[in-house]
Amino acid sequence: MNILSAFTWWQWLILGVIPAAIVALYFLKLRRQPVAVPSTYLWTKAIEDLHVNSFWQKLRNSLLLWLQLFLICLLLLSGLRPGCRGEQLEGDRFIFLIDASASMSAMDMEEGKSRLDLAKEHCIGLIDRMKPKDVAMIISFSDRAYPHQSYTSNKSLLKRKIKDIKQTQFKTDLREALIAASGLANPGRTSNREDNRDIQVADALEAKLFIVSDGGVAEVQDFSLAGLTPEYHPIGAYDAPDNVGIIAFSVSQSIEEDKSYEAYARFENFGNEDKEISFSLYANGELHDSKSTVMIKANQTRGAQFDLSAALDKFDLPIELRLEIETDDALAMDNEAFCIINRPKQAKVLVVSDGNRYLELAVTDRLRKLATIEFEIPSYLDSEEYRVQALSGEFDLIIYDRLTPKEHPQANTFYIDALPPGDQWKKSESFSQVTVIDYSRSHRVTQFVELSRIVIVEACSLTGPTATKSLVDAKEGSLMAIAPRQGFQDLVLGFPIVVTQDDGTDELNTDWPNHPSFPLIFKSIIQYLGGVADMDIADNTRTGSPVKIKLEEQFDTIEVKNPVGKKSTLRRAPNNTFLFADTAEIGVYEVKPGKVDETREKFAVNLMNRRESDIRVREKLEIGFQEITGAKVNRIVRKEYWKWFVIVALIVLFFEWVIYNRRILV
Amino acid sequence: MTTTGEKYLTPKMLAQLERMELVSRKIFRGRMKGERRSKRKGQSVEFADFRNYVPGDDLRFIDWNLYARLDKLFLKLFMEEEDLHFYCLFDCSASMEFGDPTKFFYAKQLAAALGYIGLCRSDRVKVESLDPSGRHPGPVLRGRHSLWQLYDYLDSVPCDSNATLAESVKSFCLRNPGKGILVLISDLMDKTGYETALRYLVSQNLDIYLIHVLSQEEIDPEVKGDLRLVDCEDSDVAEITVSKRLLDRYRQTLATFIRRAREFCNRRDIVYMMTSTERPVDQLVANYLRQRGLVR
Repeated sequence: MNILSAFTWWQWLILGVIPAAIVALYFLKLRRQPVAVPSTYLWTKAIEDLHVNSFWQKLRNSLLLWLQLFLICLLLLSGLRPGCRGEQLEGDRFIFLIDASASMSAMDMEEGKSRLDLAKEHCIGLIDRMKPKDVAMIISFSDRAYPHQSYTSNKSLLKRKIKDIKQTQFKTDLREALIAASGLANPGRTSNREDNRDIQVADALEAKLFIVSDGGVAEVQDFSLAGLTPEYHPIGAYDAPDNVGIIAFSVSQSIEEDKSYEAYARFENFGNEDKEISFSLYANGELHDSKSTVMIKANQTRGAQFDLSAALDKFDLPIELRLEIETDDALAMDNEAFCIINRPKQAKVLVVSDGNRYLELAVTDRLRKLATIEFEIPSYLDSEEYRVQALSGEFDLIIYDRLTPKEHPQANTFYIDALPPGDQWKKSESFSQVTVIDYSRSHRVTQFVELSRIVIVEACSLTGPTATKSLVDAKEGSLMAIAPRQGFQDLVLGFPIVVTQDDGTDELNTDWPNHPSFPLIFKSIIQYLGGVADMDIADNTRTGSPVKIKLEEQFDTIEVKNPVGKKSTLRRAPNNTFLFADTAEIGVYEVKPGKVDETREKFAVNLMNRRESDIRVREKLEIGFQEITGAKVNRIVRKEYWKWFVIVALIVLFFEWVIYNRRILV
Repeated sequence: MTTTGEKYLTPKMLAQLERMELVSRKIFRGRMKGERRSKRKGQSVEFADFRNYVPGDDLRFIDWNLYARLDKLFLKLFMEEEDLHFYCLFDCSASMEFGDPTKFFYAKQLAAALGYIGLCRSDRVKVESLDPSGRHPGPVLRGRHSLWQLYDYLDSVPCDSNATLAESVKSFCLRNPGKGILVLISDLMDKTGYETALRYLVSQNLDIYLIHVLSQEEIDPEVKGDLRLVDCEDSDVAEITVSKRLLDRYRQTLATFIRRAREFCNRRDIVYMMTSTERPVDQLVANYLRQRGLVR
């Protein structure tokens, strides 16, 4: 606080005389009113020990005098114009984008307060600095944006809404929030800019956008802020906080043994110092394995492997695995990861072929464990039974060998030298002496196979619908491609395995059946398109991502219970799947079919997001190629307190008046 | 129209007072025969006793009937009726001129009432103001017809004495050595103290009643602000700033003053009674003084 005098020195001198004058006037006022009394005898005795005639006694008893002196002191103080530096927000319209993603739960600043708590306090502080007629809106964001309050000048309402923002376990996506802010702030602008009907119906009103976040967001490119002036307010400690997180946790079958499972985990130290951690693996709540004093170097990762044989022997499936880092750090959310080993589920596969020995050989034997495989001849496609089965989604996968059904079945499909019905798929003229020049090593169908050496006599290149992805390429074009179709996938192979000669004998069109990749790719196809892998070792779903649940039997509804006990009922989609989107909590979700009180499946939802675990605060954000640095541009104004002194002086004056009129207390 | 007398005593009060009489806790010899039974046997009509005749006795009191029956001379003894000396001293210092009604008027009214009781019983009544200068000596009155003289005297006494209580009482005692009932009406507001005055009276062997009269403004003063209190008698000044604390202190002092006066009187066989000017005189006489035994 500093002082800014309102008067010159000689004016102060005059004012300084006032208190002395009041005291002098007080004594002058003490020329008391004479009153005749029968005798002063009793009065003299009564006042003997009160000593009212002593100077200080007189002052002590005069409350009025003290009030008057206090009053003049307050007025003199107000004349000194005491005040301090205060800040006011510049602008009159504000949008608060408050990050509520998983990383905002980090506790790296104050004891017991998360970054979100601090962000809320910061925003409340900003709201306090708003001018009375300023308006603001509140949006919280994680991987989605929640508008909490539209434009209002009601500060208490804004503060209440800010306090209501809840911590989420989602990743961060600033784009969603920016689109929401832009749509709400700029009248007539919608989030869909490709929409031709998006007509500007009113002028955009400029607003200041406060992004209150730790900056753990992806760059938002290709976004125009238009009338929004962004201001980034970083929350959290700039020096790298101490955090080790689980960035991967999965279970897979052992390569050596079929029935053996192994769990793999990967930890990353996001701090700038080496850290020693201890972690434990629990199976169905019981400690299965534990490791202590594992050193992870700064900014490095480290893996861990667990043999699950003992757990598999001990428990029936499904087994719930929980990996926990027991060493405390700033972010607790990434110290826990879950994985499920469900009961093996057999896919239901229909192969429609006019006799293909190589195909029969490939899909029998070992694959029978993965799926129930039925073989039918082409005429079966005309039967009513097929119609019912195909339309009810009874099959997970139907393989059409050199033939095309009349309509799409409600199942994933694999067409060998044939195109799905409709005109979306096209194939070129056939060409001969084909060699594979490239294939996708990332797609689950082709990731474990070696296709470069196979020779094809005759093939056609494939062209599919818009989202078609080529898996195997020849010089002439795509030989194998996959495309989505209303929740299903169509895999098309552009060449036959065997060609039927005029004499009815089958002749190989490729040497692929002689390669180990042939049965392997069929295994991958059945696992991937048959949906076997999906539920056997439940894939790691990230918070906020939808989960597709498919049960062996058909149920109309299923019930999903989340880790905190909230139950949701899902209805069956046409393809006998259930889509569950409310994956807001990290943990294990239980699936109960219909009214049966038995958990059929489980699936795990984890954070496992490096960007969320990396809780270092970013000094700047990049939005639409514009760098936004955390900077304060608030207008500094002087906050004056003289009004308060005058108000207190008026209150004192009122009391003085009351006391003067009562007199009894004088 | 109120006559001079009605100013002090109304006819109703007079009628009430006529039925009363003054009572002395001590028996005194009166100088004249009165309407009061004496301890001594005397010449009233009320028979008391017989005794043997001794030569020299008044032959008129010999019971001849008894002589006829017993042949012995017995003398009839009768109760002696005596008069009572009743003194009423009232304070006429300037401090008595306060209150509504003033303490002075109240004292004169009370003196008139008590005096009238005495007059009705043929007692020797002397009502006098406390003034050592002897400017206004009280008349000695007897018989109810003297009431007008009493009124005249009361009217003639001004309230302007500056003498101390002790001086005034001493002067009275020197002039009136006789015994009897003495009622002293005063506010006791004498800075030299009331004790000496009372000691003088006690030494006279009088049956003393002290009626302490205070005005309401002395009992519960209604003052406020910064005041300069001026004593009406000696012009002494006390500067006060009225506060609740001071008023409480004043009330405490007054209570102590009254308590000490009562204790002083009790120790010396003086009947003490404090009254406010707001208490009607007839009520005071009929109830309070009757309870204290001054009248019946």
